[in-house]
Amino acid sequence: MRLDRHLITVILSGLLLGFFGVMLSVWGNPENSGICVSCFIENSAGALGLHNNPRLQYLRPELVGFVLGAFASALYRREFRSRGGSAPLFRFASGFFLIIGCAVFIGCPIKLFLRFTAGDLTSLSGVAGLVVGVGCGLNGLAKGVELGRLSPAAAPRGSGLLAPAAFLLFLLFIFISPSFLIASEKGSSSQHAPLLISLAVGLTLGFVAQGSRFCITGSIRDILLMGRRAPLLWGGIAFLATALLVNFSTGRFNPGFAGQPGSHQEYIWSFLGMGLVGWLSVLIGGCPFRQLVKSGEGDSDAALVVAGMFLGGALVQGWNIAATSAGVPLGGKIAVISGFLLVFSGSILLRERE
Amino acid sequence: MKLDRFDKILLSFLAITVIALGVYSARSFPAKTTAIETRSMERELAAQARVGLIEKLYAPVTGAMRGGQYQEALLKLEEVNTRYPGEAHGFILKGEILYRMGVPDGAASGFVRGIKLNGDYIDKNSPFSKRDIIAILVEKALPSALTAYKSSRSNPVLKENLANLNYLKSRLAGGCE
Repeated sequence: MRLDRHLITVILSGLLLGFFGVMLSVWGNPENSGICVSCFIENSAGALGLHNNPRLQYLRPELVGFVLGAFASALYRREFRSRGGSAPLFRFASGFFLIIGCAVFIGCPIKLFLRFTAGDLTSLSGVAGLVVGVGCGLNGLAKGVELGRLSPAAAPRGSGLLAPAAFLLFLLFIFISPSFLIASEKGSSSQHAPLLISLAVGLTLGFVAQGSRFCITGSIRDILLMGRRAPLLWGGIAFLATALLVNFSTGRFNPGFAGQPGSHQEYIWSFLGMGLVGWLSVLIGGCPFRQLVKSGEGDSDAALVVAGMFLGGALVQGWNIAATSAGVPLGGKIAVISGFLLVFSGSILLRERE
Repeated sequence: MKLDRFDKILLSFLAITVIALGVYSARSFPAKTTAIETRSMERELAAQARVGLIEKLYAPVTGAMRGGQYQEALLKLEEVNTRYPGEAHGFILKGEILYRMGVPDGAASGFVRGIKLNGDYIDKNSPFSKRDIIAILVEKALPSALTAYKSSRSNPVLKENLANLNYLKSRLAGGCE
């Protein structure tokens, strides 16, 4: 494989994601949650008053940074293009269930690998689930399950600006702290890296990831399809190796199954939760992180996924769906099964037959 | 792009709304606009009221504990628990009493039930934090609980005790939940 500019950007994305993913925990974010899109969404939904768990309310600057960094990159690279119109409601529901799957596992695909590289061996069932989920999704694509192509014609011109505008508003909220914005004074949301560092990391990662198209589930998909020829394979390796190295060097590598931070030992549900995330991610074209990045580059369908993720972030707390160290609540199990109901029925209905 | 009359009207209105938004955003909100402004005050009041009420309700128990009379403390705790059976503080105090009496299994069980109801007890900064005592309990009791479980894997009591200690260890380790 030739070391071209794209491959270098992909590897750089992996390196930065691995490095900052661990370092944000060192700087103050919760353990093994330096970067976790689903946690950030739950925290931010709480901060905006969408749920009332007093331990999970903080408008995460990293989240804002991902979208605005991607927006800046798309403008800089002249890649900003309003597009959409591909099964928007299905994507909205998928965003909702992406967060369900993540909440049952306790973490998004990025956090899955951050947990793994910190020695949390319970995450292995999640890794297996994610790989199987992506594999099933790919199989579905091969059999004609498609949401339809995104089209600039289907999206009104300028509609792609709405997501960056919303996150620009959130950025304003972070700095002016309006009275309706809530910030936890206890629990994991009270733990955070310094604001400007979090924001700078978010902007950097959003900027780089927009150019490289880096995505965890996309990496797995490409590896399954192309093997060693996939550039994202090398990005994924860079991510894992860097995270492992930084975890080791900061004394955060504690291998074991029991007593890991923010994890439970209900392996089947971890497998199913991440399986759901993997499958849905293939259908909608990217993991939760990639959806944020795409929403920043004008993809209004990805913006709908993000909106669905915010609804999911609110309801996993409000409806007692999210798993904790104590295990997966009944509501979480029912929600994951409901997510698969969407995947299966959607696959039947959306499948293009000859 | 050529602008027609309608575009120009829209642009004028857009400029007016931007100016209006700027003007209104620059003004400070009146003190009594909504209940939102009082929310943080109410939350603080509720937290302080809880601290006061808990201290008052459980004063006989903590008094007996301070005097080293743990059996009596347990009896007093049972009295309070009949009135407030689901209160996390009761489970936490039971855990602490049993820990001081040298019953680590019961202590772990009490702490787990309390923390599942209210995570404040594991937080460093909470006024009711029991983080230090829980950390000592886990450090001391976990190795023996693991050995005991390995010697008799079919014993459900040993299994539950190990699960309780692992849960406490996980909560001490942090994470986002």
